[in-house]
Amino acid sequence: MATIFIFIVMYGVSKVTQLPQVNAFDPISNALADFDLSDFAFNKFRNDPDAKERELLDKIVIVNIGEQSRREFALAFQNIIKYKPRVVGVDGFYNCEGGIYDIENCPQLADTLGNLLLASAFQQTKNLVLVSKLLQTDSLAEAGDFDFYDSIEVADEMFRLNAKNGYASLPTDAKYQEDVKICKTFFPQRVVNKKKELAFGTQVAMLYDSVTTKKFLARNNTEEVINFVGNVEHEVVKLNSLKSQDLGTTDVNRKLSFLALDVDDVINEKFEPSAIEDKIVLFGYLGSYIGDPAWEDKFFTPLNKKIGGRANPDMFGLIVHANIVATILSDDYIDVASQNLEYFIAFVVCFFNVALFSFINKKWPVIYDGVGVLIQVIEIFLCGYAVITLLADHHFKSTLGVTMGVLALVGPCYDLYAGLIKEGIEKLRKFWLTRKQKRVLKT
Amino acid sequence: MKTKLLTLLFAVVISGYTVAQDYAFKVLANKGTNEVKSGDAWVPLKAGASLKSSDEVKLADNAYVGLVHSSGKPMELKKAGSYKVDALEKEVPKGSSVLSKYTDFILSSNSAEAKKNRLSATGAVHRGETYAIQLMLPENQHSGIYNNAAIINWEGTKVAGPYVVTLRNMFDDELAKFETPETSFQVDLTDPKFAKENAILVEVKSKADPKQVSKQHLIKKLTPADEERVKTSLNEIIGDIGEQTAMNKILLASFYEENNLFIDAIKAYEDAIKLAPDVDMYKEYYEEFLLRHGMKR
Repeated sequence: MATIFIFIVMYGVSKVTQLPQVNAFDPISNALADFDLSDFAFNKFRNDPDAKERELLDKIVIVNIGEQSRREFALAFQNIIKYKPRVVGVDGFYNCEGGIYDIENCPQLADTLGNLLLASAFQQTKNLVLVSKLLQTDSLAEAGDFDFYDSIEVADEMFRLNAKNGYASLPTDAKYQEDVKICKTFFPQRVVNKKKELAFGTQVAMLYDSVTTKKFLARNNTEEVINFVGNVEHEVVKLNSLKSQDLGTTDVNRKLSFLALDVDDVINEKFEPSAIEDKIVLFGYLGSYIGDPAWEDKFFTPLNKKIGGRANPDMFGLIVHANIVATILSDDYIDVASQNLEYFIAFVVCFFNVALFSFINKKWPVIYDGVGVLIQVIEIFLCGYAVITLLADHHFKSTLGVTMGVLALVGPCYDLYAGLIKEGIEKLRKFWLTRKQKRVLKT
Repeated sequence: MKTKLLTLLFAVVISGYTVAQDYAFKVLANKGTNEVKSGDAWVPLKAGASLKSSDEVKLADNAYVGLVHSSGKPMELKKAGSYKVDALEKEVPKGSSVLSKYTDFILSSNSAEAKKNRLSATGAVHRGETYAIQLMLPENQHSGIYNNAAIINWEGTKVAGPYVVTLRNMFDDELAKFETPETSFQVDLTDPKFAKENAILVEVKSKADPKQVSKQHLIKKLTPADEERVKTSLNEIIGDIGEQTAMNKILLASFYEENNLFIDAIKAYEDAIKLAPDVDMYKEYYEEFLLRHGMKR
């Protein structure tokens, strides 16, 4: 009975805090709306990177395209392609935005030779993946805000003649590209106009290792958790006083995970050719130079050292895609606890806690209050540890949010139930069910 | 048969172990003119290279190197200087379990968050200036010159000539002033006016409107030690490219570029084009060189 009472209180509290009058004056909840305890498991409390993980990450090479024109990019692209990477992904749109093909709105058209050079380089590349974007046609967009797409934006034909498409769209709450973007998951595949489309990362992984990728897709999950393994954060600091500090937004063990070549490295060929051969090379934007604190195409991910409140975004879109590729190729995916399982665990934990509190209250009423609080604190920390270790060691994501809510409420709710509700019910029961003196005397 | 299988299995295990251990660090990021000493010679460090325990890495000023140890743990080098790889290996942090990290976090006072220096950030930005005349010369950190002649070019489309070229020393004393209708000018460093100067500043402005001016660019003579180093390297290849042909000048330009002597490279490209004015390819090489080093936009 007490267990059900606690769930009723928790439901009531959650509904009250959702009221706009209350929600507007609740800055903490608003700031931590995206907080997820399992994010801790991705950055602070993760197992250190090891040689096995290194082997996986060495398969992926990142190349920054910076602010290069199409002509400059064509030259840089050729400098990489000649070393025969197995798969090449280009995370940049090579078309005219909005389909407006005139020089004023699409100045890149003016460099005809540059366009031809790039198109030729793309056409000569085996296993090339270009990004596309899932869209809604005007009529569908007017029908309402829902997660269904019936159109796709692709690169111009001259660039995609010999390429496969992969959509770069990532699930976030952002309304437009420059909005705040929080990315934790991705859609591995979607059906658009009755045709199956693969995500950019899925398409790249498919060309690299189709067996593992098909196994991953066979899970048939609409949305998959990205197992973020690392970032690319180079610290370009000129002040000596700052050189001894860690200024990264990602944990020190995860900020340097992929081999990353900057614009100059590629143009001047300042890289080892063996690092490219037979690898996955992903071209994309990491700022004007790697280490540029630019925010364009930058996301908040679970690797961010600050997991709630105001913070700097930590990861460029290109590296999010690299993490998706690594997730698929790792053959070690993250499973997510269903909502029903979350409620079931919470119910069981609540039931045993009520039993424990009831036992202590009857046996040792003097120390009940102190011991009760202590048990709650210990259990909440154990819950936190369980969330972290489940994800870190067993790749199972459960927030245990309902369970933690139950643990926070079990003490006061039990007191309320035992001291007021239970007593009240008992009195009512006596009042209604006990025969009155007059009626007793009459019989 | 069983023995053979066991031997094969043992060989596979051993070879796997050897492969896993054949490097100490891998270079994941490399910014600046950093070098590695593998054996006796210092060579430029490259991204993706593997470092052995016996190697040594030299970091230039304002450079950055990101390494990852064979165990998977990353390490950053930000301060200029020499680093022995075996010493770096000893600095690789030991791993800790998830439980100990969690316990440390709960027991820590989070004192790092309560920092005292709260004035690290300003409400202002560093702004570069925009100039009407853009000189095709490198930024000051690459202003070294090995030879005695520097060619200065600029675009004449925005500001019409004639132009005034002013050369000053580091104390802003004017050393020489020239007037030219062209968009190119050659400075001879053997001229007695400049012979005693280790560095000179070049500025170009419009004669008609002195407000239309370029940024001051530095041309800096090499130190005797650097000059000797370049001379030694140059002597090694001069036998092959000593003949005055356009192709040899292009090869010479590449040598200067590799050694960050961009002003000398400009002169070599200009010489190549003069020797073979009909070959468009050399002009393209020159154009690409200027573009990749940001001297032309």
